Amino acid sequence: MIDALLLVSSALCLGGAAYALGARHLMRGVLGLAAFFIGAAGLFAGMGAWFLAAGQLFLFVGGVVALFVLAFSSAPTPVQREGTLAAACAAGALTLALLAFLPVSLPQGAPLPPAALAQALFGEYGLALEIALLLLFAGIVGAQYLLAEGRA
Amino acid sequence: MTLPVVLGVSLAVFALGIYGVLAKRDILRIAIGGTLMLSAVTLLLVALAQALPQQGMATVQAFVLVVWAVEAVEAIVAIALFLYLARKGITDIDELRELKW
Repeated sequence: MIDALLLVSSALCLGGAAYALGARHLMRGVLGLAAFFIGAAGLFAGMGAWFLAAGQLFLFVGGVVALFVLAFSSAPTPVQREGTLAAACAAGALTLALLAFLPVSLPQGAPLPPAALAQALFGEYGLALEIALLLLFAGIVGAQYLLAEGRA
Repeated sequence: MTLPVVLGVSLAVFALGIYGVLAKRDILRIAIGGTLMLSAVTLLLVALAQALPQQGMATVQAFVLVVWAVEAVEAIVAIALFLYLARKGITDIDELRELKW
């Protein structure tokens, strides 16, 4: 049975990723990146990882992509010589065409309640989470230092 | 047929990420390539975790969240570096030949 979510998500993933790297104007490339994240969220949702799908949308489409867009308001948007919109559309269309003829569906495991994820994240892997958050804090402080005005 | 599809998508996105990191000369596109690589790995991990019991799935999803924190750090540092270098008029990463600018 053809899984429409798999078709659309896979096409968005491949087409968005290709366009993100190949777009002539990086602003449009960031929109391709957003399309990739939406496709990845669709794949996560199709595999039953609803928390990860929501997180992908909130954190990456709503956070990382917004950061990129804000960065372009402070500096000229980079432009590369050749764009690859055609290649990106071809990647997405090819994915759709291939998957349309295959009897595929997404792998479905046992649904994971958010409480179990929270217990694993803040219990067993709390130290790994703390280290990752410390790394995030260090990155933010480093970025602030780099961009502080008045530095020589 | 289920896993090979996600495997193929992950592999293709990972290859695109490697291309972005190696072939592009713009800092933000390199960062996008790195982000694509990390996202491809998380997709594959979740797909492979479908065969695990609930505890294994919780482990994988917790690991994915930690990887996301690292991805966010990469994006933040890349954007800060891009803005800092843009102020100095440097846009091509090939111009960075010293540790201090």
